[in-house]
Amino acid sequence: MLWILSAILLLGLAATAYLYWREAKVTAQLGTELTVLRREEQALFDFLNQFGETMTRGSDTGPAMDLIVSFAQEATTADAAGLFVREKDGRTLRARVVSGLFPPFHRITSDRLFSKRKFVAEMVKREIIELGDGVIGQVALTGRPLLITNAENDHRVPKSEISGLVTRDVLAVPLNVREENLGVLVLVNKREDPPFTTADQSLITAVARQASVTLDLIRLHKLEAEQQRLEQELELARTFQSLLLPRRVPDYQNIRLAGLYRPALEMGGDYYDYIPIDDRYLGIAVGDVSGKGVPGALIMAAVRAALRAEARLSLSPREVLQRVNRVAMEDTKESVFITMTYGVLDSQTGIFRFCRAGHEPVICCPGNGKGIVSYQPEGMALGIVEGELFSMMEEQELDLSREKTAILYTDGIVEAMNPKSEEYGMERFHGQVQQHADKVPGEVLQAVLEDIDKFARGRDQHDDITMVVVNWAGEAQGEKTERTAMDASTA
Amino acid sequence: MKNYELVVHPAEDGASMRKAEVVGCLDSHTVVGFERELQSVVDSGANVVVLDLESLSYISSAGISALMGLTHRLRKSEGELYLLRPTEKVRRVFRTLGFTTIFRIVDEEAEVSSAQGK
Repeated sequence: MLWILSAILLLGLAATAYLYWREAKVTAQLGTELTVLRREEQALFDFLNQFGETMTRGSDTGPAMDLIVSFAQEATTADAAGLFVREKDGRTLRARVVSGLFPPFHRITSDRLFSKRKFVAEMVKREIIELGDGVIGQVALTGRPLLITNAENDHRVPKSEISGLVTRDVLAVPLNVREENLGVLVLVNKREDPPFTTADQSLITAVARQASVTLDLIRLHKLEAEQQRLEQELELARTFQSLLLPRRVPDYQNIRLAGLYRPALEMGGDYYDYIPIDDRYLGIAVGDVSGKGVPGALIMAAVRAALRAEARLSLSPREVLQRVNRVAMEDTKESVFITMTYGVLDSQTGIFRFCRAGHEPVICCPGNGKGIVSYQPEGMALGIVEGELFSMMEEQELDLSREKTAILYTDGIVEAMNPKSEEYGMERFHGQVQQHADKVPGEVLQAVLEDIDKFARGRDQHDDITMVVVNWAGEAQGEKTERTAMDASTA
Repeated sequence: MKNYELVVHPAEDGASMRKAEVVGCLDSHTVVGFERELQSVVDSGANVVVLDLESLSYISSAGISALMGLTHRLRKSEGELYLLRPTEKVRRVFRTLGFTTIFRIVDEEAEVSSAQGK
């Protein structure tokens, strides 16, 4: 009986002791876990603090990446750590920061001795990792972390050929932002209590999440700065271009003139010019360079200078354009060309003698409801060929005293688009000119421009719009009674 | 908003001729990709390029510059750029510029082989 009682008591004691021991153990375990969690929390907090501070100091990602790597290495007690970032092409990765003795994850082709730490880091930094290739490429591709605790027997981790460089365990965590992967943070060989644990993984994942958001912000900031730089360049080009335009309308007997240049958002390289040759003759030019922005404006400046110089030496537009073509050939790349219509107007007779170097035709309209006549003599754009092929350029004459109004323009008018991507077109343009031909040049310009804007219904102007309207204010002088044009066509 | 595509036909063994189709519009935005893609075709050893322009709806001066540049580069290596069946609209642009005498414009692919066979 007694032994039964003793046994029960003993069992009770044992059970109590066991329960106590288990509770103590659980408490201790919880305590340890809590300590670990607290330590991690503190570490994360410290990291974020430092990280935030680094970020406010500049827009360079370098210090931020250094901090991520050194923090991750310390927090997980890893032997080595590396941050691999996606290259601009999006298909490859490259190490930006390498800390510690980082074993190369690729077969090393060089036979140099890489025993020194800095050489190993340099070697790893030189490697280009294809997306999907090896541990790092896989993590970047899938966007999911990879924890390898027994790397020596894992086929995904290559054996190092360098003595003393053994990969025991690997933790690779992606740097993701939204749906996009920016890079991979890799930790190698845990020093204490190896290998890496899932706790290490969750801590580094949290760090990586914060780091990617910040790196993304810096990247966006850089893009914005780049955008700003482009806008400044464009502004420079605009200012430059505006200096190329005539500052005043020259005063000639019998002639009324108006010019318009409205640049597109990304300047298209148009220009126009009045060149007073003497009291009687006036040179008029409208041109378009195939390059945009600053390069386009610079070419135009060179062509403008050449034209201004040559125009004063000859009254033949063909001769002048041949000489300008030579300059354009020397000054431009083989693929860059300039289209131009240049003519010389005799203010006494109203005869406008002109050439078309690959440019839009000259259109004329005498008003009173009469139709449009379009003049399109043969001629090739400037800057492409010399010699015979270019010399086939025709010179043509029109009598402004009969035609009353002549218009030189660039393709930005007929190619203006509406939201449905339909073009303004030649027909509508001619219609407008015909409708307003009796008005003074400035009003003709305004009417056409308003109609283009009405048509475009708010769509961005994608090319420069340039137009020069010349109007004969004197008496009809010409002997010809019929309106003629060699290549005339009515709209 | 703007459509553009370059369809490059696979190279035939040992042939120095490559064919590609331009679809959509070639302007200052799309021309960057166009030039890069065509350059890689040339770099892969083609010195005769046949560019099908039947589905090219619009070409800006930047696009024409690119064609001009390619023509020059190919001719330097005694090659040629053939422009196959451009639409009337694109032809008009070439005519206005006076470039119909510079570009090799053909209506049938057979014209390319007979020209190359000379």
